[in-house]
Amino acid sequence: MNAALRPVSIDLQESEENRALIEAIEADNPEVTTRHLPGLIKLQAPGQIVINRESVEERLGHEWETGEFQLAIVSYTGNVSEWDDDQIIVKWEH
Amino acid sequence: MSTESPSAAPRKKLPLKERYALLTRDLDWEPSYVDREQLYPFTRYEGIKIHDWDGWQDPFRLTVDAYCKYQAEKDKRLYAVLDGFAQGQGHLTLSDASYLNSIKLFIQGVTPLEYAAHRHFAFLARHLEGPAPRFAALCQSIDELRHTQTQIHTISNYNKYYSGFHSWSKMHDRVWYLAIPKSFFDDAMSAGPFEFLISISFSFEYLLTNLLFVPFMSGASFNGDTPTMSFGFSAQSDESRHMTLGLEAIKFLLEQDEDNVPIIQDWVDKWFWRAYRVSALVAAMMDYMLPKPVMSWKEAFELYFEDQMLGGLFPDLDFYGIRPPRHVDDADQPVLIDIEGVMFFDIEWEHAFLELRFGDNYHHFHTEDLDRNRLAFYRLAMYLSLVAGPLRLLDGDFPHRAAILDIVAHNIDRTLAELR
Repeated sequence: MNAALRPVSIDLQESEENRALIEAIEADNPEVTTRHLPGLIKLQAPGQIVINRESVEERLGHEWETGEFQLAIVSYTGNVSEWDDDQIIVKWEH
Repeated sequence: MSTESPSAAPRKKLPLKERYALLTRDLDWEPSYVDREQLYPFTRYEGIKIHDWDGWQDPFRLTVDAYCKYQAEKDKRLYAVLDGFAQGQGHLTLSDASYLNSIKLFIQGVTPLEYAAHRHFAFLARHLEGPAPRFAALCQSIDELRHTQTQIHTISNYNKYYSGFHSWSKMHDRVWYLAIPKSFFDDAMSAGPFEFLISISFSFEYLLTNLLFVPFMSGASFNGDTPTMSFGFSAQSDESRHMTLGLEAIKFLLEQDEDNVPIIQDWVDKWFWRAYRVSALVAAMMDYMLPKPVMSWKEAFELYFEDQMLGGLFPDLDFYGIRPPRHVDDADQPVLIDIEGVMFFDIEWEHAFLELRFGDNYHHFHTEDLDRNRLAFYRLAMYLSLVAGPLRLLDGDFPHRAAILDIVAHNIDRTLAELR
């Protein structure tokens, strides 16, 4: 299966603090599917998952640094191909 | 120190990538009065060829200031949970006290590995040649010490109310089933720095920590143990950085020289199976020790290993000529682990046990070529041990005394019947 279809996933702690982040990911990645496990939420999508700072801030109502993603993440599958001030992209390369 | 006048507007923060470059690579220097081989003596003997250490990038672009800020926040959140749980007498709200057996296994089997990882990543933080991997290793070394400390701290609350949490590091060194995690890490630490990266950062962190920690911590949550869930997820958030280090390590090594590929493949084959055996510890915790199970080990294995690693990661590594670990297809086959069978012993002992275990259905296993006297002897030995074992249990504070006394009485009868 090619890189555009193989699933990548991000596991986040399911908490009030992370709700805006989860909603932003769902909005920016229409193909994402979610699965709830006790204490965590598993987001999976074919090929890639993008996290946009602006989308998160919009829902959160205050500033959010992409670095704060480290406080939310539990695990992931894929390759962190981009991480700058505005965006984080997890995808397969090959 | 700032040289700006107090009236000046605060300067805008530098972009992440620039900050990372300034605080990592720009702090590195070329040695002038010793040569590189003297400064970094351990990076050549494993046969791995590196041409350009700058090819190694940390995708997290973590800098020391950001690291301290986020780790402090993680600890703050964790300790709020620990306090709340302790003040609310949370130990009384666990699904069942027997749940804590899995936590005993955790502190004996896993916490000492965290400490071992702390020690060895400190070694890598000194001995890897590139500033980016050195800094990533330094962060990981500090992370692992944090994990050790937060685990001890979390579990110490249970130690106030329940027995069996003492001497865990001594247990780690001496209890037979803990030889598996212990030998795993001892082997990794005595390997060279590159093999350590593949064994721990890649095979352990990237391939298997998900499996080890994520479903189990979810299980902790399901059984009312929010402190364990919190230290688990807090540690796992560091793990996601460690996984990145692992993936970055393997890709970097594969990209540097074609000659590295077969060496790495051997390590992947070897360390997958070493780590797979360690995971049996968590399989036992998940399938046998959670009063309220959340996900079977099989399901976790299919989700986190087969779908994500075999389905997602290995096709990516195929680009570099790396195959999935050798014999990986056997990894999800059910096996009967015959502990007695791995020792040389009389087959009659096995049959005495099978009789005991299967009762009326034993005839399916029966064979004619058994020594009847030995069989009778081992049968007697087993009955006697089923008298002695339960009596030893009664010396302690085992709660279900009547049931244990029944077992004792039943086996005294069986022993006497055998002697008649």
